[in-house]
Amino acid sequence: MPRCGNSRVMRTSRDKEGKMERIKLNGRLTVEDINSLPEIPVEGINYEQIYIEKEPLCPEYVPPDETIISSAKRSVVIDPCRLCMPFGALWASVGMHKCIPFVQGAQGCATYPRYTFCRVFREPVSIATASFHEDTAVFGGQKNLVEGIRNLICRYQPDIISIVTVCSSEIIGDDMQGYLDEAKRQLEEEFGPEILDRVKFVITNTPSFAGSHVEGYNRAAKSFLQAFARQRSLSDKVNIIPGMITPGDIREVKHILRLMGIEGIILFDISGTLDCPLRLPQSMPYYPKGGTKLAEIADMANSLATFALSPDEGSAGATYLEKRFKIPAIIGPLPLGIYSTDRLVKKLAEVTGKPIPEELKDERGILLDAMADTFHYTMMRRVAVCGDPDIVAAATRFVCELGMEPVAILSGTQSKVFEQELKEMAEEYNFKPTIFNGGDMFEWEDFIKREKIDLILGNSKAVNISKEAGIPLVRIGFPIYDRVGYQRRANIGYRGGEYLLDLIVNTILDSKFPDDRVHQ
Amino acid sequence: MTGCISKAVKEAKMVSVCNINEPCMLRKGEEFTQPPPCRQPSAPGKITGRSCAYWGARWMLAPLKDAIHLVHGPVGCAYYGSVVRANAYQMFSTALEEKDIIFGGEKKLTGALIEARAIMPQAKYILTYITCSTALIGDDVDGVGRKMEERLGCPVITVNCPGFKGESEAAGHRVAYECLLNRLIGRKERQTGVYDVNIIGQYNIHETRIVGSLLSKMGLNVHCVFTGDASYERITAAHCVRLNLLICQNTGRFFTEAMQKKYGIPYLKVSFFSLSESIDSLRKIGQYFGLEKEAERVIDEEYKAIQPELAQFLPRLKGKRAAIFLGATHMADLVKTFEDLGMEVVFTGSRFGDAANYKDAWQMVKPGNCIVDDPSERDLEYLLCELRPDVFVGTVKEQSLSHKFGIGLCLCPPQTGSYVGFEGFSNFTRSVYKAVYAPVWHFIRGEMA
Amino acid sequence: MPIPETYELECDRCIPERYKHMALSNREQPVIPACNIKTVPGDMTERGCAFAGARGVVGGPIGDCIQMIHSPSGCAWYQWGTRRNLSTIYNWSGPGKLCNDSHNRRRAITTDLKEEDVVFGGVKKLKNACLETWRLTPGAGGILIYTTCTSGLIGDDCHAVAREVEKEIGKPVFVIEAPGFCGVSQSKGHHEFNVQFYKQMAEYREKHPEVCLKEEDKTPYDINIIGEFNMDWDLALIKPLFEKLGCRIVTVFTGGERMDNLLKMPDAKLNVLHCQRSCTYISNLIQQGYEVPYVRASFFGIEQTARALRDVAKFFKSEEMIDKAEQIIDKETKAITPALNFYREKLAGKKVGLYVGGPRVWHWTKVMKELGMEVVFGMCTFAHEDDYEKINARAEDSLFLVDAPNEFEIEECLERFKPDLFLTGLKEKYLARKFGVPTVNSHSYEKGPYAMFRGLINFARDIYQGIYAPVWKFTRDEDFTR
Repeated sequence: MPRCGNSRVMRTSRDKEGKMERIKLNGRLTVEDINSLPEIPVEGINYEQIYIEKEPLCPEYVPPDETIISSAKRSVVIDPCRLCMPFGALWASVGMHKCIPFVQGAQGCATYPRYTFCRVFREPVSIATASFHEDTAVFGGQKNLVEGIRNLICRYQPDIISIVTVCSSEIIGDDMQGYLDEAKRQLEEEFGPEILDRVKFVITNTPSFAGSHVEGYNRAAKSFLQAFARQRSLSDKVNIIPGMITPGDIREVKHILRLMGIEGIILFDISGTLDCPLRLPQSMPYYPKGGTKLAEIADMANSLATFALSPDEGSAGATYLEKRFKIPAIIGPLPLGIYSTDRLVKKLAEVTGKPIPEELKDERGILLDAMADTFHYTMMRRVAVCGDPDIVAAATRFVCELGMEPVAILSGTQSKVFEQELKEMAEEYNFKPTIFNGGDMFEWEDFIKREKIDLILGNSKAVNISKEAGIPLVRIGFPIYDRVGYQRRANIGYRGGEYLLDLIVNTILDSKFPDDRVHQ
Repeated sequence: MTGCISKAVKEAKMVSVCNINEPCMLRKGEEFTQPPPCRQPSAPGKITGRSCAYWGARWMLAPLKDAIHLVHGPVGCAYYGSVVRANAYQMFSTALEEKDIIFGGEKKLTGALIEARAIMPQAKYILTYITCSTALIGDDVDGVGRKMEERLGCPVITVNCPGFKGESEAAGHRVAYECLLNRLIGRKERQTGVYDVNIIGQYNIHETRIVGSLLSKMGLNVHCVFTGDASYERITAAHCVRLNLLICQNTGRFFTEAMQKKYGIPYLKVSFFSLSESIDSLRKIGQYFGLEKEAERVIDEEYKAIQPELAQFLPRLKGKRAAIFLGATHMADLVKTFEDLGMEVVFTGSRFGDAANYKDAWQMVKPGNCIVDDPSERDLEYLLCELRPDVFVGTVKEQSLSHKFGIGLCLCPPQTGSYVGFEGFSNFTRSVYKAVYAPVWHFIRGEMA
Repeated sequence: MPIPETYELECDRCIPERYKHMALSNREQPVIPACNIKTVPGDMTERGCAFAGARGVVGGPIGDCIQMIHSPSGCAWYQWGTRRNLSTIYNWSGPGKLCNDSHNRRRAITTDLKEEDVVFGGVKKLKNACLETWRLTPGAGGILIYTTCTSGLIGDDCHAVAREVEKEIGKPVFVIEAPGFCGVSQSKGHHEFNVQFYKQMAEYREKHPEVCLKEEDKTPYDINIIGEFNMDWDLALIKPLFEKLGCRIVTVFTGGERMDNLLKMPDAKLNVLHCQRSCTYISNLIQQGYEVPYVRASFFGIEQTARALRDVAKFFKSEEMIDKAEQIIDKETKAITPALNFYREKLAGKKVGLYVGGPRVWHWTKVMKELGMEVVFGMCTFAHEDDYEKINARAEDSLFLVDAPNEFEIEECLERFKPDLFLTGLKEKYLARKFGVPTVNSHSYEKGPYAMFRGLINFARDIYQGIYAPVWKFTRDEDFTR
């Protein structure tokens, strides 16, 4: 019977053929049905209850031309697995306390990233724009920058303004430093010299055609540290540059540091800004409570060591600190899974001299116990992975530790470190994956549909592929916007490994094990 | 304590962990030439792996699909008995409460029988299980059943399996087969074909499928499988076959001997666990029926099909060590299987094996390795620690224990698929490979452990 | 007329140039705030760019074309499968299996300009990209090439590429040049799309007269529905009613429509114009170029939908149609009255704030009244003067209007007016929740079509669910609010 909800609704009369039709419609109503119902129920009728006859674009499936499947042989990019550079810099800026990013470009370059943040994190994000119009493209963006910064300061009183350039401002060749100096001069005139103590500025150059969001975060790490890190007196803290991981991941890093008794400074800490509680009354303007403070980032020049957890996202900052302040930089790998988390913990213990606590060893043991309990389900399963290079390399290693076989690995951004890590893994665990370094999802999708794959580890953009190929999907990485809660959970560390392992094994059980088999 | 025990194990003395003089672990060698005593009652408090007669009866009777299974007792027995070998079955129960125990539960039983029949009118017969409580309060379940037979229009069979009967599940097995023999077999007659056989002692659906297909390929007609594929029609006419094939000798020997005595049907002991046993059994059966050529053809075909997979895994498994702890018959069967894999069995044991099982196992095990009967949990821990096999074959109760000691466990019977026949041998090889080579053991044995 | 001092928002004290963007409505003498002018830089505006208006709003719903975006990967990625403008046209994913999503939302196709393309020009890449994608998408109805900030600034001659590609593939290849910095908001993008599409469509029809509707196929009651983008299957409720009225719908601009049909737009007898911000331009052009008149319509709410049907019937001057219109209105109203009464009872007296792009503010002012709710403020992102005239005509007097509001102004209005519900888009959704105010997505809807009579129930239901969700009770617990 069509799902009409309210029993007061009269059914339209149908004969036996109609009954078969309804079964085919799977409980949905045709357009004709909806418009001829004598009464609409209180629950209304949504679009997913409407049965739409799909029209194929062409009469039959035509397999794609073999010569242009590989992205290296194509000019066009179909379904890119990467964004443009400014987004990474914006992500970094949003992780600072009372920092408002200012995008020197057209309004779209601020609104679109805001939409993306809202979708993924379900939090409000404030990003100001210089609002380029046609005259700006001709005359340059100085007026917009100067006016914009002044408006921002007097209304929002931020601590930091992070200026991010985009392709339009880079192409027209805006001299950002020069404009900023002019802006500062005018601010001093209007508000007095103390304004420059209250508000600090950073400029990050991120032309979108010169790399992806991964590179944007990297550049922001370097530019923030260049602008603010000042060596005073040495401390025994440890710097952490996390990369583009979720707020839950960052909380897990803090947890590990706390257990070990180490004080850490986390650069671009989005766990305080992109996952905030709903507490009334709300102060205006809306500023999240957390984020890395200016004083903390200045203190980063005094630490014992810098850990850049993601090799491609933040290593530029770590190497800058090494060159300038002689702070050793420890780069990657992302601590997902046993081996990588062990390395992080051991390195932390080595650098700070603190022992590895019992609780941490117990957490490791629990993860190992979980792996021991479930290897029968995971071993020899074939996996395809997609996403950003650091998380993909880390997830692939974890998946190998579970005994699975990675078959098709896609990194949206081309990366040498990623390629190197995968080669090492392939030798260690003795498998031969097909690697798409910097490819797009179209060729990855084509490969998956031809091979026999048991599981996909990917982001929300892989949902269509998973449904079409009939392969279950475990969501990991960026962006995940069609399910809730992923930004609050960790994938890294030992506890994160347990959570990810549970997801993977439960997904396999859902799809591979018949429901009438009860676990013995 | 550990030092004390390892000394004892090394010297292969009869040893007991709980200060009770019962021998249970023996190392085969010059000093000991006989297997340990078996079928002894377990000492209280030793944390044994055994279960009760009701469990044994359910193990046998659960796969009977066209029967109503009614448990006369408190609700717990029905709940636990509804999952057998990882399959969930429908259970009916009288769910006795305090007043029923005091005043008797026969009235409730009568009502339950009528209601169950109304809910499942298509059932061909009813099995009523007696539990500890109903046995102790003295309900005349059998009498009630026989009275109701005419009204309900189908046989009502009482399974007299209260939990305290016997010393382990083995008591329940016998009770179950007795019921089938006394109340069901012989009700109908049929034409006995030349190649008709019964399979006795095959309980798992997947195993039934594989063995059935091997035998049909040979040209035999499998009439009834006790109890993996036994419908009312087939059970009642099961005495009209030419041969009984006995697969699980622990549970089925009583039955086959009784059938031989009562109906004159001979039996042949076969096994389809392990490659060599499967080949031998097929040849033996072929010889009995004069179907030697067909037997060879089937063996050839099946063996070729699994060759590629074996070639992939066998070289890596050679020389690894294994340990076994199962119900009864598989204790010996699996030793042969591991031999086919080129692996050495360091200890094997069972929960309720009988003298015949242990004799078989004793013959198959190499000198220097252990046989264990009804070990307690601590005995298992010590064996695992001392002998350190690379893989342990057991049931789900031992799984987490063995993992904590860093030894991979292979479930038998497995959750999906089966380990019998040629296809099953290849499944088994793959499972053992997974258990031995799971990457997690590498981390557990690392320096942080 | 400047607004009274009490209405001046605190947050704009240091940018008093914002005050001219605010007004209090008046039915007798409409008050128009300053609108469609430059955004104040750095005020945290909610506006988007022209590319969003062109490709996101108007061009995106076209069902069977390849939407080639000539830009670095970001511009294409941000629009990949975001708005729920659904369509029936699906591509194949494998033998016998259709894709999981409709063709216009399934893929992001871009030339992904890199540094060398910016320096040396990207036309060659664009041409190859078009031809490769054409090979990979058999059955497509044409190609739409969009330029963005990057390709606009480097001066790529996309029209030349389009001409070459069109010659090779034999199907229409149109270029829409709406780079992001064009104009002051999304509105310029709508405008550019309308104008450029019309121009290229007219040229194509002249060169290929076979795509026009043949005389013998025309009927006296042909109409187009202009400015309907089929969000959440609005068309499933719109089309059948007009068909019952007796009209034949030639094409929809552009909800889920094929390129072939779009080229037949000037062959109808009447254009029914729904979204009057984004598509008035093309209606005017068609009227000038082909003498096809247009009638303004609104498909939201009982009164406005009824008027739309009556206006169309009146245009055709057919007694039969006018009667039919009355019958339809009667039947539909009866079908929704019981459910609507339930919601009216629950929503009576509730206060609602409206912040949408432009037209929906005046579309929905009447709808709010029909549901018994009071509108406390109205804001538009990119409305023009005519939109504000319409708001003045429909709203109660002294409604507080803000043009192109920025985030801080929204926060202050929420605190000052304290509405029970805020009808707005995705970015403000999470902001409003932090202030304890529920929202309903006004751009892509929450669940289900909101248009015509039957969609009103879905709209009322989503509003009801927003206001009556139990969580808002807990946010006001005394012990936990500071």
